[in-house]
Amino acid sequence: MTDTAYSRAVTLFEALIHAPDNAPHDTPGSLIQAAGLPSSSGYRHVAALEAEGFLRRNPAGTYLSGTSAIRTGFSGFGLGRVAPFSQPILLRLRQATQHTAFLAIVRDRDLHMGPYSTGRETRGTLLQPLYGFETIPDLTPGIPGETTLRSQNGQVLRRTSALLLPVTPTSDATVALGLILQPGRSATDQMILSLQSASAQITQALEDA
Amino acid sequence: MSRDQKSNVQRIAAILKGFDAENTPRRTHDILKDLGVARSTGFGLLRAMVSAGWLERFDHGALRLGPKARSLVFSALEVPEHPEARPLAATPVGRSQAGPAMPDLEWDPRLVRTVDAGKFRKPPPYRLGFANASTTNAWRRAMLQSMSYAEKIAQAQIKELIVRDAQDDPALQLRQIDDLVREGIDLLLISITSVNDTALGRRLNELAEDGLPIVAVDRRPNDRSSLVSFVTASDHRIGRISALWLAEHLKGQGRVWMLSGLEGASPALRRQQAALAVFSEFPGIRVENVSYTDWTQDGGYTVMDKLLAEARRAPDGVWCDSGLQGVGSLQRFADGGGAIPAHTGGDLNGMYKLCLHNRVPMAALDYPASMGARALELALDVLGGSTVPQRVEEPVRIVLPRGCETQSVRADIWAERHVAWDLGNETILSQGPALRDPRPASKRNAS
Repeated sequence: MTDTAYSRAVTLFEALIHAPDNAPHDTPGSLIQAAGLPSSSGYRHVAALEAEGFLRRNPAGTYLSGTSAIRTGFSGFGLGRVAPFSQPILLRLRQATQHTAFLAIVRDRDLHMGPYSTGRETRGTLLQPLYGFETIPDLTPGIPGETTLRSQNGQVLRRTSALLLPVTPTSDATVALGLILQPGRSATDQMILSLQSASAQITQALEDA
Repeated sequence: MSRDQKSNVQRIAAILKGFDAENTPRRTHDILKDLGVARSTGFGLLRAMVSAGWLERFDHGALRLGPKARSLVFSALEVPEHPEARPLAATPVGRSQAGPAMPDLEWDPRLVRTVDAGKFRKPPPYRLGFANASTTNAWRRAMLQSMSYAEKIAQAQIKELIVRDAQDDPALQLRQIDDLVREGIDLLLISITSVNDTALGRRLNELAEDGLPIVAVDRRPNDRSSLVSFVTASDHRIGRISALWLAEHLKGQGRVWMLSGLEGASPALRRQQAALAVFSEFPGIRVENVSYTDWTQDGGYTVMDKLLAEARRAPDGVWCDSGLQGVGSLQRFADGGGAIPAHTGGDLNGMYKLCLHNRVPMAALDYPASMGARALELALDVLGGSTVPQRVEEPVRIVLPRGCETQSVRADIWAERHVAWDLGNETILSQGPALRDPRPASKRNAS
C-alpha cells in the first residue's frame, strides 16, 4: 500500500468525524455525501466509526460526535479522566439554567472550547473551537467570574460573554466550567450557584477517582 | 500482509483510542503490536497520522496524541440549532420574577463516579447475554429494537447476542440467567423482573463474585453491588417534573388521580415516590387514588373506567408515569365524551396524537428507549477494559404543547414538533435511529 493510501484514509477519517459539525445529518447517506465520500465504501466506514464510538446518533437519528471522540480530545490534553463526567454535568447545568453550558481547557492564554450543551436562552451564540481572552482572566479554582472571550473567524472578530469557573488545574492547563451569557446581561445568582454546584461535583468525582 | 480484516479507518480509530487519559507517550513498537498489523502498514498509517497532526512525535520513537486529536474535545452534545430549522420559539418564563431560586440540578453523585473495567478486558468477538424482563409493552419492544440496532452496528465485535424474555416472571428469569451462563456468555445484560426478588439478587451477586461483568438496563436489582454499571434515565426527574407541571397547571388546587406502571418495577416506584413528594408540597392538591396499570393501554383504560364508575366526578388532572397507560386513560375519557382533564406521560406516539388532537393539556418526559443501544455500547466498553461510569443516564427531554408551560416547567421541545403523525400510535419516539432501521440483526438469537 502506498503512503498516499494511508494519507487518504486519514483524510477520510477526518472528513467523516467532522461532518456533523457543519450541518445536521439524519442518514448515513447524508453524512457520506457531506464528507465527500463514495457511497460504495462510505456506509462501511460510518458504521465502523459508530461502532468505535467516534460517531453516535441521537434519538432523532442525527449524527453527533461520539464518546470516544470526546474522550480522545480530553486525553490529548492529558485530561481524559474528565471525559466521563462531561455529558451528565453539562446536560444538568444546561437544564437548570437554560444557558449554553460548556467545559473548556485554558492553556497558554487560549481557551479550547470543549463539549457543550446548547441552552435556549443563548442558542443564537455559535461557539468556536478556540478563543482568546479580552483581559487576563483570574483562574483561581472555585471562583466564578464573568469574562469576555474573543474569536476570530476570517476577518470577523467576535466577542462572547461567559461566566467561567476554573475547576481543576494541572501543570500546564486548567479545566473550566462555563455558561454562555446573553449579550449585555450579567450572570444571575442562580447561574452562579448552579455553576458552583456542578463544579463541586466534578471536583469530588476527580478526588474519588 | 495484515493479520486482520479491519479497514485503515478502523485502525486509525483504534490507534487514537489506545492512548491513556494522561496522553502518556507510547512506543511505536507497542502501538503496532496492539494494532496487530504488518509493520509496513502500521508505519504507513502512523506516518500519515503524524503528518496530518493526529499524532505528534515525543521522544526516542515515542508518539502521543497531537493537535487534531485535541480538537475533538470541541463537540456539541445535542444537535445545534440549524439556521434553516424552525426555531423552538418558546417565550421564556422568567423564574427571576419570583427571585433567584436554588439551583435544581438533581445531582446523582453516581453519574460522575467511574469504574475501572480493566479486569474484564478480553479480545473480541464477544458472546453477550441479555436477560430481558419482558416484551409486554411497546416501550420494551422499542428498547430491544434499539439494542439490536447497536448490535448490528458493532457486529464485528459481537459473536452473538443471546436474548431471553422472562415475561415478568422472576423464577423464569433466574433459570434463563443460568442458561445464559451455561452458554458461555462474556457479559450479562439484565433488565430485572422484580427489584425485590432476593433469589435473583443473590444469584447476580454470586455471578459477579465469579467474575462475570453485569450491566443493568432500565430495571436494576435493589442491591446494586453486583453491577458494573446501570444504564437508565432519571425516573426521579420524570416523576418530579411531571407532577410539578400538573400541580402548577392546576394552580395548586385540584383533585389528582395517579396511574402508575407495573407494581414492583423500580422505575414505577421511583417515579411515583418523586411525584408524591411534589404533590405533598401543594396543600391544595389532593391525591385521591394511586393505581397500577401494568404499563399497558388496556390497563390504563380499565383502571380509569373503574375509577370513573366509582367516583361522582372526573378528576382535575391525571398523573401517569408513562403514556403507555396514559393513552388508555385518555381513550376512556374520549369514549365517554365531555372534557378531558390534563394528563402527563409521554413515550407513546399515540399519547401525543390523542392529546394534541383533543387539545388536552399535557406534559411528557419520554423515558428513552435508546438506552438499549447505550447499554450494549457500554457492555463493549466494559469488555474493552475502559473506565466506565457507574451509572449512565440517557437524557430526558421535557415535551409540552405550545401554551402549556408553567412557571417552573419549560419545554425542551414542543409536542407539535415531537409527534410523528406519519408513524403508528404504538411508535416509541425515543428509541433513536432504530426507529428508522428496524431490521433485526442477523445473529440475534431471540426467544
